[in-house]
Amino acid sequence: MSLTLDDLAATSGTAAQDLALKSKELTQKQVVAVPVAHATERRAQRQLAYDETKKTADQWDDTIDAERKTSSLNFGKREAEQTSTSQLASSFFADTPLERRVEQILQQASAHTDQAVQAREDEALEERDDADERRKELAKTRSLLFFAERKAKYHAKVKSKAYARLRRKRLKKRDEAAREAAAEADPSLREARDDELATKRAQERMDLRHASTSAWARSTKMRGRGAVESRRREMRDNEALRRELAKKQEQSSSEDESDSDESREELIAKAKASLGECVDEEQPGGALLNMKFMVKAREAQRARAREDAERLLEELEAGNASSDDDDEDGAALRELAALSGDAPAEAEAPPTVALQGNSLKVRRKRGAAAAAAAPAAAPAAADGTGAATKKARAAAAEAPASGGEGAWLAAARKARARGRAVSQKHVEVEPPRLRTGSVTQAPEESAPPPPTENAPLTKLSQQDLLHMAFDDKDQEDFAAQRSEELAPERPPEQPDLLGWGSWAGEGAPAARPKKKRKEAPVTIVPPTRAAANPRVILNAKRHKKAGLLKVAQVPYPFTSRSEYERYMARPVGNDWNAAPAVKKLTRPAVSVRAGAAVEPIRKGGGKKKGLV
Amino acid sequence: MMRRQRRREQHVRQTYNDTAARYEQTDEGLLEPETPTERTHKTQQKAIVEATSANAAANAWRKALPKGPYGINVARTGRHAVCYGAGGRVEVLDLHRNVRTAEVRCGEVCRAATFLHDETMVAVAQRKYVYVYDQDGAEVHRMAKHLEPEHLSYLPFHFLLASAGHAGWLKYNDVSTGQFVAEHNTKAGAPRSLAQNPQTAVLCLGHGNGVCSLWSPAQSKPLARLLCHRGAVDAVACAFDGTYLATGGMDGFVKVWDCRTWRAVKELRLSGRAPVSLAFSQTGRIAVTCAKSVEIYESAKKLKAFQPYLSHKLDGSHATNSVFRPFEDVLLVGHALGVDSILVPGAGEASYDAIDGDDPYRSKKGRKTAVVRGLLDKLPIETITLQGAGFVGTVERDAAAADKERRALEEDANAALSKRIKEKKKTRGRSKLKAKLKKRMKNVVSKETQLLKEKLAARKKKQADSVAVQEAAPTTALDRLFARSSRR
Repeated sequence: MSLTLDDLAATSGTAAQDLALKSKELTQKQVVAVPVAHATERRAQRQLAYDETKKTADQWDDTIDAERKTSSLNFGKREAEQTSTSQLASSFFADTPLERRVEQILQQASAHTDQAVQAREDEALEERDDADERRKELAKTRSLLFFAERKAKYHAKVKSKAYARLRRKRLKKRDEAAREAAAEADPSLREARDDELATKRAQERMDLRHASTSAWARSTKMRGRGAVESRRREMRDNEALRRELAKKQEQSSSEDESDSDESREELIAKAKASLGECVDEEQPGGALLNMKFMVKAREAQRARAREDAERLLEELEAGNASSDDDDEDGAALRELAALSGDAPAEAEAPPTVALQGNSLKVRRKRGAAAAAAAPAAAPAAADGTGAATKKARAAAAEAPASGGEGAWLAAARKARARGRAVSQKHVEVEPPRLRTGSVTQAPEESAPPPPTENAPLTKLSQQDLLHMAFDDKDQEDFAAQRSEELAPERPPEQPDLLGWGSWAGEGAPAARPKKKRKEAPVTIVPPTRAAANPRVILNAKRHKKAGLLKVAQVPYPFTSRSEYERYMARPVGNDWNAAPAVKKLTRPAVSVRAGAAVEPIRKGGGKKKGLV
Repeated sequence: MMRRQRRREQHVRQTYNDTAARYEQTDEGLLEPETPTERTHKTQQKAIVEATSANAAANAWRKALPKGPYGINVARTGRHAVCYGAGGRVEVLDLHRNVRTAEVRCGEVCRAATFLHDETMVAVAQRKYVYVYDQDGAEVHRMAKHLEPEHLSYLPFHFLLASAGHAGWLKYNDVSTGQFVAEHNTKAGAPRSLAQNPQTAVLCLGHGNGVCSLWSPAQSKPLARLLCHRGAVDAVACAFDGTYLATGGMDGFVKVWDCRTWRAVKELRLSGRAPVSLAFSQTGRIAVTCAKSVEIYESAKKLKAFQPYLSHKLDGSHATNSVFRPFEDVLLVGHALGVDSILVPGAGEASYDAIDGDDPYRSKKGRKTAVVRGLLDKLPIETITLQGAGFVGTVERDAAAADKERRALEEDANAALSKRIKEKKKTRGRSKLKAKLKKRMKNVVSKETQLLKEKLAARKKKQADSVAVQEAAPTTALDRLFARSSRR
């Protein structure tokens, strides 16, 4: 074989091609990117990694949360063996002679597995003529059985109507509670809710859907188809009656409202009118009340009451002329109205169904007015001192009890007089005294009558003898010690030495005041009864070491001190608890079985290996 | 849930209060007068002894002892008692078997004695120190820090032995570790009396100036001071439930104080007598011991002059102190001629708590178990406060103070840490070449160093010789005269 020209040409051709390619590559001038700075690259990597981690970080939340909340961690716990039927079936091994025999029989009958049974069935069918029909029949039976099973399962699961009703009720209750809680947190929510409720109620009233919900109506409804026409009519009438009543109520309430803002002049006029009336009334009563002296006394009382009322009215009118809007006058007016038996609504005893505008009311309300007059009169009478008002109030309290017509007036006068008297006098409240006495208070111990020097010993009392035997020095010492200890601590005085405190020399600018650290506010504990006792010195100093046995603040899962302290006060010992409870309560926070490998924490919520 | 719990708690509290009320009112086992005019305190011991069973009657006895007067103390189980005499005799008695289990004759005055955690150890306050003796009467320990002790008290839940000394010092010693725990200067002279609150383990000291002071080992100042009497407070006692403190003074008064308000709830004036000792029984009876007689009152509230529940005269002897036997209707009285054991119906708690470690019928093994249990449950001294140990684990109320303390602790810890980190090298220039060379030259054997070494060896030898000569020569009293003359 020799080398031909063709060969050479062929070779040179490919080489030329290569060369052309190379030159092309070079001429195209492809620019290779300059590598980025290492730091920039790392930063980008970090950013990416961070973004990735951020996406997956909260996957740990459940795990960590569960681990934190658990009372104790147990590592290397022996897992309980899982016993599902399929597992048992799959791991079955014929061990005992009986089992082995049964297995042998099953194998002989080729019924030991599903497949074997199927094969046998097929075999048996093949021999028959109506194989297809038989197969269909079998399939049908199987599917029927399967559906029957499914149905039974479904029926076992499905809940009754009563269950649904109760559930609905429970859910409603829960919703209500949640809304209530939300409303408590945010008042605007409450308003919205109230509005919503009001609308709902209005709707209910309008559509009459809930109108006949009374026991009677329900029982009638329950009869269903057999409900007679008369019953229906009854229901209708009933409803009509109810509506009418409601309308009336609405009316009366609007009247009440219009009544309450009467003008001042109207009130005075009314008072005047009823003042005229009240004298003419007849007192219904028994024989005793209608006896002559009783009648006389009553008339006298009335005369006085009338006088008072007239005087008050005069004052009022004068006041009305001078200043129209005055609170005191308003009070007086109310008082007057009360005197004349027409007390304004707020001064009345319980507001009853309105029956106003006629003289009947004046007569009917006498008792109530008397009761109302006293509290109204009392503050007007008392001149500002607390004690005076107190007494007036006491008098007012007496008034309704004493009953009768003039009682309120007498009480009012009494209160006024007392108020004056008390305001002039200084009120002294005597503190209760200890029987055992004290260093300063009890006279029988601290200041004994000095025993006369010449008196014979036999004449002296036991107490005198005691005082002679034991002088007061100890008592005085104790009192001094107590006052010394109770006095606030003073900082130690700096010795007044030459050069101290003026290192910079005279005339130097004053030093910049030191920045004071913000101290926590000091809680001032009021002295207890024991601490106030002059015969006791209690050590008020904080016991630091004992303080270390307390916790500084309520620990995490607890929301209040009482809750935490209640939890701590709960006994854990076996004298008070059953054995499993003791075991649970006294379990260590972390326990590891000796020799067991502690696996690292794994992602995933719910129950973890270590969690108990 | 919360409501149910609250309701349950309320129920428990109610039950507790009912039980407590019943407990307070208990008059079970008391003598009852048959006629309205009959007075129980007229009943003689003889009559009580005759009326009771032979078993109970065996608890009425008098043990005559020489070289009195004698004081008496009893163990927590009520089975053992220790009597100590001014003549130096200490006897440990087994009251169930009526035998003496140990006897010590220490030859100096014994002022107080108390059992430690159980009957196998007894601490005795002698003339100068506190000594501890074991069940055979052998001296186990001498507590040299407890000088001139006058009163002793043992705090069973803290394993502390407390002594109040003549100089006015209250000292605490942990008997389980042997450590000296605390000493407080009462600044009120020699203490006159000492008692322990069994609920809070606070010690109550009666002083000569009429003051009763309450102490905890954890605080150097008294927890409280009460001005109780004119003249010295000679007797102090605390009720078993810790609610009442009784004090008796030289002024002839016995006062009962409420331990919550520190107010006197009851006063008793003894006519022409002064109490020398007071004792509470488990059921709340009070024994007021005067020099010649002992009067027992039904309860703190029924402390009324001339109307004691029982009274007992000491037939010409002078009483030192008295103490109720736990779980028995018996009062032990120490006096000049020995010890009396008298019957006080209704004084002892009928049932004992075997878990609490005060089972009077426990076996040897039971006793040992109780010691171990006690040690495991030993309380730290900080739990001794006026209000008891109930505060442990609660939330701090004085948050500001707690915050301040915490800050101080943190600062301390930080300071320690910074000290550890920054070890500044203050010796400068040591690493210089010159110093290094100098150090290296130390090993070089030169003429000078050789001379110095020889000189040193010679001096050492001379010293050793002189010591040997001194040891060899017999020393007599006259030797120093010769030494002086020779020097001359």
